[in-house]
This record gives sequence, structure tokens and C-alpha cells, in this order.
Amino acid sequence: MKIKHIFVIISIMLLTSLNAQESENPVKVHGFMGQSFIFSQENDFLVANSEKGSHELNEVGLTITSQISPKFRVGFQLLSRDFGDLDNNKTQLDWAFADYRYKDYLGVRFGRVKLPYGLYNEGRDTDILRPMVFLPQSVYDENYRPYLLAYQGTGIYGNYSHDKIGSFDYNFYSGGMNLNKDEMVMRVTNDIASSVVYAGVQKAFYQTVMNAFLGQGLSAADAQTQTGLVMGATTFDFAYEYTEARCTQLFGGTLFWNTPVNGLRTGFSFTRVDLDFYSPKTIATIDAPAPFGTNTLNFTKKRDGGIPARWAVSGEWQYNTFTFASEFNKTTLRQNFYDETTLAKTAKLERDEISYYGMLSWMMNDQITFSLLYDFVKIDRQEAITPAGTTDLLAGTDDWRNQRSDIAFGGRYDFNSNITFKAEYHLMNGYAKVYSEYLDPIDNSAAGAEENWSYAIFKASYNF
Amino acid sequence: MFKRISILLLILVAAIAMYASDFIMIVNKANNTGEISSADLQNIYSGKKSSWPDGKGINATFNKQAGVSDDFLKDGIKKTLPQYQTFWKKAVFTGTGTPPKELDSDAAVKSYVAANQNAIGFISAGALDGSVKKLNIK
Repeated sequence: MKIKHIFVIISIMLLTSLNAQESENPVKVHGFMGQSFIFSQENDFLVANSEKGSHELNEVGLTITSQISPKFRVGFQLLSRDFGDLDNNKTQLDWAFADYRYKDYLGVRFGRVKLPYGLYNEGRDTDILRPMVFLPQSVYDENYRPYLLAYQGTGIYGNYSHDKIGSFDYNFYSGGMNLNKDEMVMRVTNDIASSVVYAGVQKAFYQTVMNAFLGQGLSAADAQTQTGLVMGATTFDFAYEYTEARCTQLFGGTLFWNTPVNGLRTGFSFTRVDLDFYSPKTIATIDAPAPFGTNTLNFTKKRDGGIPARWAVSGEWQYNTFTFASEFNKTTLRQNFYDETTLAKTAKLERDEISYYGMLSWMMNDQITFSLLYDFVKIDRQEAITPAGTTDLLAGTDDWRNQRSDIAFGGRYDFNSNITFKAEYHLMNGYAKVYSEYLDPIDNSAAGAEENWSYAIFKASYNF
Repeated sequence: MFKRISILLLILVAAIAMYASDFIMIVNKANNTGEISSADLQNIYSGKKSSWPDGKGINATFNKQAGVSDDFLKDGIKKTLPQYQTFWKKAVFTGTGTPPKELDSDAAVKSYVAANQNAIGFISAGALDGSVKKLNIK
């Protein structure tokens, strides 16, 4: 179901509830907004030009909900967000769903629902919910945000409670998702695919040329002499872009145990997305140089597939004014690039990511909180093989460009329950999953990248 | 010396008594439930328990009156005020729950609970009267 259909249905339900309900359950309106300033040294992080300082980090959210009956609730949230080159404050439907709670142990949600994953994923867009500006980026990676944001489909959830062993919360869901072509994952896929297809187009073209010459009894050297083409050196320009990503399946779930120890909970999460990326049928038409000037080479391509899957083990303990949270996460990315004509796999990108963090927060009083974070991610790259023979130079290595650690400390000041200020400093080591790496995922030379770097970030937010 | 120690002890006891837990849970007089476990109380105020044993939905209220709210948070559901607020803000901004109805005083909570058969609330121990029923915590 498309987002706009979900929005229309939920809006109609909300409007209906305005008349149906008594004043006991009014429609509730809430909202939030936040503005950050990031300043990094040596490397850009998350947003372009963060080395020069960037204000391109903000969000505004508006939430409307209605508890239509004790068991039935509907609502939606609109979100406008700027994240460097991404989103640029376009208003999007963050979530919109109907929720029917049959019993405590079984409820059903239908629509676009924030994806439950780990301790904090559902609330990732709301600054007030966490002690630091960003959630730990090893697990709640902003670059994978589209895979973790929301599902469009059906979910079941519930709670089972026992006086002696504590309680269990579960969430399971199935459905699909929409990917904006401007999202980072789409841009990365386009970058890789362009490289792959680009190489494929050139190879096919040279093969055509060679075959023509060989068919006339001439040698490859003659072909090069007569055309001026040099294999691997002559290039052609053409635009390439996936225009659509279709999710063929999305499913996952969480199971959390709220232990009998007050404030201690632990759990397991998993999610998997299967995607097909589509481009126009004919993506490249090349006018060949003389003597093939009138020749046009069509290289058709339609579909590539990608499967990001991940799981996490989580634990959190709220003890008096202290909160300790830690999670271990594994992400598996499998992406295949196919020749639509022959259905042969022309390239693959395989990555496993191991990440974990520990975060300690101390609420000194109702207004001031201090936090310490250790955050680590390591990429286990498999070879990315292209028709041109390009391989991932960092495959299987422990190179600093394959990992990243973050030691951070920060402070949060709650002026009141509506206004919050945060400031923090991050000492970074390693280059994995840093902004420019995403824009050049196959060429891992990471020119200009620095192993040791840092960033500071400040944020003010308001909610009501 | 003994007199001074006695006075100090009396002051200490008085201080402890002043800050001792001083809230009671109340429900509508027509509600058949007479007691509730500590775990269920925490589950109600975290949205995980939404029904009374007879299946009717629970209308939870939160008393903002100073003192009694602190006692309830500390001894009733074992959370600080910022933890409680953050929990429900998460529910609001992710659409997964509706926080308990906030009321300003013991009198407002009693009035609401007396008028709503499925309501639950907490008030200062000394504010209990015949309009509502006390709910024991086991």
C-alpha cells in the first residue's frame, strides 16, 4: 500500500473520531523541532562540509493522535528534516497507523509504523528521548536510515507479564517500504551500479568493435590503430540512475524481557529487507567514434537486487539516576547486479558489519545529564567484482578504513520539560562509514581521509 | 546528653515520616478489583496493562500535585519524573501509546475516578474519602 493511501485512510479515521468521541478522548496534537550545528576536524561526517561547520541538521515533527476507544487508536506524524544533502526539509509522512489492542498480550497495527529495532530505533527522530544528539551510529546508522525507518504493512505486538519473572514485550511485522531515490542507500547503489554498468557498456562496445574488425580478418591491433580506441583508456559519458526501488518483502521483530530487577531489560531484534532496483529499460546509447560513427550501442538493464539484513542483542539498565545501555549488532548487506539480457550476475557487493556500543548516562538532577559513549563498527568487506575486473582493495583487511571507533562525552541541559540543549565531543578513529566513503564505495583509496579525527555537535530542541 | 540524642532522633523520625511514601491508589467504588500487584501497577503506568480483570479498559490518571506525585513515582512505579516523561513522550512521538490523563490535584483525581468506572488514580493518603475506593498494593 502506498504512503498516500495510508495517510488518507488514517486521516479519515481521525476526522471521523472528531464527531464520534466525547470530550474524554480529544484529538491530541504534539510536536517537536530541533536544530544542530556540527563541526568536524580532518574528515566530513554525516553531512557534507562538516569540516567547515554545518547547520544542515534540523527536524520538525507534528503528531496528531486520537484514542477513539480504550482499545482503538489512530494517528500520524509529519516530519520535515534536513540532513546535509538529504531530505532538505521536504515534509514526509513519518508514520500513520491504526492500532487495535485486543488484549494486553495481542494488539494489531496497520499502516506505516515506526520499525521496532533495538532499544531506541522507533524514537530515532525525536531528540528529547535520548541523552546524546545522535543515537550510537554503529547500530543506528543514519546512512541505513531508510532500511530502519518504518514498515508499511501489518504488525502484531503485546506483553506477557508474570509477577516473579518479569514481563515480555514482543513485536513482529511484515510488509514493505518505500525508498526515496535521493536517500543515501539509493545514491550509493546508483554509484556502484553506474560503475558496474559503465564498465559493462564499455566492454560490450569494445567487443562489438573487435568482432567487426576480426570478422573482416583484421587484428585487434589494427582495430586500435584505425579507431584510436584503447581498451580501458577511452571512456564515454552517459547518465545512469535507478529511478525506483521496489521492496519485495520486509519482515522482522523484537522480543524484550523486562527482568524482575527494576529497570533492567534485555532483548533481541532482527529485520530483513529484499529490494529490487529498477532503471529505465535502455540506459545507455553511445555514439561510436569513426569508423563506427553512426553505430549506436544499446545496453539494457532493468533490475538489481539488494538484501540488507540485521540483528541485534540489547541490554539497558536504569538504576536510580544512572542508565547504562549496550547493544551488539550485525548487519549483512548482499547486493547483486544482473545483466537483464543474460540474467548473468555481473557484479556483487557483499559486506558484513559488526557493531557495538556502551553508553552510560548520569542524571545529576532533573535538568542536567552527563553521558559517556564508546561506539565501534567494523566492516568485513567481500570483493566487489565488476565486469571490468575492479575489486575491493580493502576486502578482508583490518585496515583503518574498514573500522571506526567513537569515544564521546556530552552534556544535556533540560531548561524545562519542553526545551533541551545538548553539547558533546567525539574522538574518532577510523574511516568506515564516514560520509565521503559512501560516495565512493568501490574506490577505497579514500584520498584525503584521516585516520584520527574528531567532531563536536551542539543542539537545541523544543517539544510540546 | 540523652535528651539531646532523643530530640535528634525525634527530628530524624519526623523527617523520615515526612518523606515516607504517602500515596494510595484509588478506583471507582463500582470496581470489583480490591488489590493490585506492584508489577501490575508498573505495567498500567507504562501502558502494558490496559484492561481490568473483567476486560474493561483501564483509564489511568496521573496526579501532578507536588509531593504525592514524587512518592508515587519513587515507590509506586520506581521511576524518576524525567524517566516517566521520556517514556511517555516516546509513546506519543512513535504513536505507540497514550499517556495517563494528567490531573492537577487530589480533588481532581477523586472527582474523575468517582465519575469513571474504569479509572485508576493516586492521591495523598490523607485525602481518601467515601467518594472512591482504596486499591491495596500487594
